[in-house]
Amino acid sequence: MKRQLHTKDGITEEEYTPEETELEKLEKRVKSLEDKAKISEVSK
Amino acid sequence: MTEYINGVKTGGDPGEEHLVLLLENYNSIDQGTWAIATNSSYLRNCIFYNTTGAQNDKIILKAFLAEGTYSMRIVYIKAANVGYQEIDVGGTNWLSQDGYNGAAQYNQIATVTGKTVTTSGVKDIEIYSSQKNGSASAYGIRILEIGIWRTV
Repeated sequence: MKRQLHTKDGITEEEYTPEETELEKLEKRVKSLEDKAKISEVSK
Repeated sequence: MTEYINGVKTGGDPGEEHLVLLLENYNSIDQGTWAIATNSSYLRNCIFYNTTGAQNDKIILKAFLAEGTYSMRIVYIKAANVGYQEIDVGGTNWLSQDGYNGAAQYNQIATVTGKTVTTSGVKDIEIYSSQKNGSASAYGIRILEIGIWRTV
């Protein structure tokens, strides 16, 4: 995604990747663990 | 303008309102590169901050303040790359708050009271960071909101 950068000389744009929040990191971790649990259930 | 009828004040003084200032509504940028970032941990999920994190990065807001006594409150973020959150009003420092903490702490509050405006008028509200904790890695400014209200 792009975002605006504001300076005294005006406004420009740059490509930007938002930082993950701690909650988002935890949600990813939980999903990863859930996926692993599903795989292990499948391969029982 | 204050109005009087038969010597009785009937109208309010200009500047009696309760101001909520957001940094993206700046009047001018003095130094630094500033941008919006969103994060669900932030008050109202958004911040306008100095991406450069350099000493003396500064933006200037403008607001009319009537002669009187005021309190000011900021909501800000503490983190390892945050400097002192400094605010001058009309050329006088009103607030200087260390924003350093090793781990991020969201939605912190700092309040100052008894700040006086001696002459009514449009004031520069300068937001900058000229100093930092010895452990801080940058002069980040992470103010989510500024409140100013008149008490006297």
